Amino acid sequence: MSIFLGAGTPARARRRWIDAGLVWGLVSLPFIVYLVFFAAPVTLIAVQSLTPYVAGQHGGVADGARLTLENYTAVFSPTFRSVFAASLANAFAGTLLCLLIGYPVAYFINTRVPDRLKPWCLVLIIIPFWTSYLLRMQGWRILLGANGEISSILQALRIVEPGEGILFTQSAVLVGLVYNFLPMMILPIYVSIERLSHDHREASRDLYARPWQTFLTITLPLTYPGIMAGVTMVFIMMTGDYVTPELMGGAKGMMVGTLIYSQFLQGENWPLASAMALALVFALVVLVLAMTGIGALLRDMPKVIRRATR
Amino acid sequence: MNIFPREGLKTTVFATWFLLVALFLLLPIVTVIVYSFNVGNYLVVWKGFGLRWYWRILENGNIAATLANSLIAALACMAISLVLGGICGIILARRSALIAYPLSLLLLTVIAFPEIVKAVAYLVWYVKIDLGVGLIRIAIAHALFGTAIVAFVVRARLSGMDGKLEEAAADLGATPFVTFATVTLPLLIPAFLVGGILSFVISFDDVIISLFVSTANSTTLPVYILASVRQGLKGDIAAISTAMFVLMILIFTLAGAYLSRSGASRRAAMLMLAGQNDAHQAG
Repeated sequence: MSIFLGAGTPARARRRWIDAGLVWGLVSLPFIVYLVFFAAPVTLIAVQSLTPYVAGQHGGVADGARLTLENYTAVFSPTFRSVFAASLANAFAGTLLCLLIGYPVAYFINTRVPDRLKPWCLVLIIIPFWTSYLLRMQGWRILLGANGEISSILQALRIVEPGEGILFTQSAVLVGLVYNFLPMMILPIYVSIERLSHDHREASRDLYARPWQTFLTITLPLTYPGIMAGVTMVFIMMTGDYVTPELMGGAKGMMVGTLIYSQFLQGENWPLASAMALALVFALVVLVLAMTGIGALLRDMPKVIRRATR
Repeated sequence: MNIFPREGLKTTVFATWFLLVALFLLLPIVTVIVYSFNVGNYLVVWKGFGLRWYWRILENGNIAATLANSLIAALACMAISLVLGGICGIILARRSALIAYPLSLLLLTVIAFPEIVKAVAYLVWYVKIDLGVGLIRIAIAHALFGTAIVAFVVRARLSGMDGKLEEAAADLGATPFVTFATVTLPLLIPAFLVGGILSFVISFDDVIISLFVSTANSTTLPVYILASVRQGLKGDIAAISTAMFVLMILIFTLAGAYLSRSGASRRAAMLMLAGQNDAHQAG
């Protein structure tokens, strides 16, 4: 009987309630998971960064300790500050190099390579992305070591002393960082240039813009999303990377990450390590916002200049 | 094409630059592959060609054990990421902005958060909640990232198609779950393929988080390789790295071939597999 009554029957109504419940359960599932396994851990280290180091406790953390800012005073002590500044400078230089090296590559593949060859050019850029990080680092350690091929060239050119490599120097750290993140700069820029239709540049050329004018006023501003995606991602990842500086720079490769790592796993001072980690996050948020602002300013610069000179 | 007289010269300059960058990117990889066939005791001193170090992999129990750990963690990470990331991706693409926007911010935060900070936070939390099983720790930590990656891949795929197919199914009387299973899910197979591979590789390759959260008996292959490389370069490590490289390239090539056959251009397929979600619509 109830079959003929349609939607109003108790069975159908119950079914609809179960469906709705399931949907809401599924929608809230990711929020619950990230609350428990992401938000809670980050909150915990935020709290821990405000507790004092207690000797003899696991990680130097004691329950029910008073709150203090002493870890943050330690973070901003001259020693730590210099490492902070050095690693931000490293990441900044590395990001800039990635952009300067990567943009022409993305531009070239897009605008000068015939369609049929594009996948083959792209695959050369993507292969490192598909290769394990530690394999690539081993490669650089071979090449830059005292017996390495690149060192031999540098020795022949008298750039370094005979029998020496550039491994464990500041330059090696920069080579490693740029190398690691270059594909992550090239690919988003490539995609953004690909989305930019050829017609824009054509039109600009038809209106007698010089090539550099077309580039500055059309191509560059319109590929801004790709540039910013690449720059922010690469900058954040470079600042937090500590394995590359260690493997390429040895003792000279001290970066914030190395500092946090050693405080955490060797120094067993978790409150201080937590404070450093959070200071790093704050610094990154501020710098990324500043970079986005400066980036937007630079993007609009040609427009401003054009208006001013008209 | 030569509208400007200097165009030819410029193309040559650009091409040279591209080839130099490609050389820079591929040189260390080729170097390791070549040296892994060196039979000498010292990896960097070339003695002759042979498979000595490849046979040595089989004798090194540490490599087998850590490789097994890595595979288990990566497969678990992939499974969690596909399910949870699939749910997130559908929310992002099909639910109102009131829910989708906060979720996308949350997932972006997880992706952009410095890895070292996540590593510290996860370890402190695992100790706090007394989660002692290393492989579960690693799988969860990796899956939080993998989920976000899968979610954006799924969203990119879904936003390339409108909801009309699903609406049609609903109009024909299909319940939400029947619609999902017979319409949405099949459309998402390429996205799950890409997302699955990316989340597997992210986990399989990760060093920083694994190093922090792993326990003595859950050391993963990258953590073992890192410890080994810190001491010096070794033939068996170069050999296992090369073997994994070949495996990865094989997986990506097969996936790329599948995507090309199911309608994407070869270029778009490659970009998707390099984590460029914008290529999903273009393809």
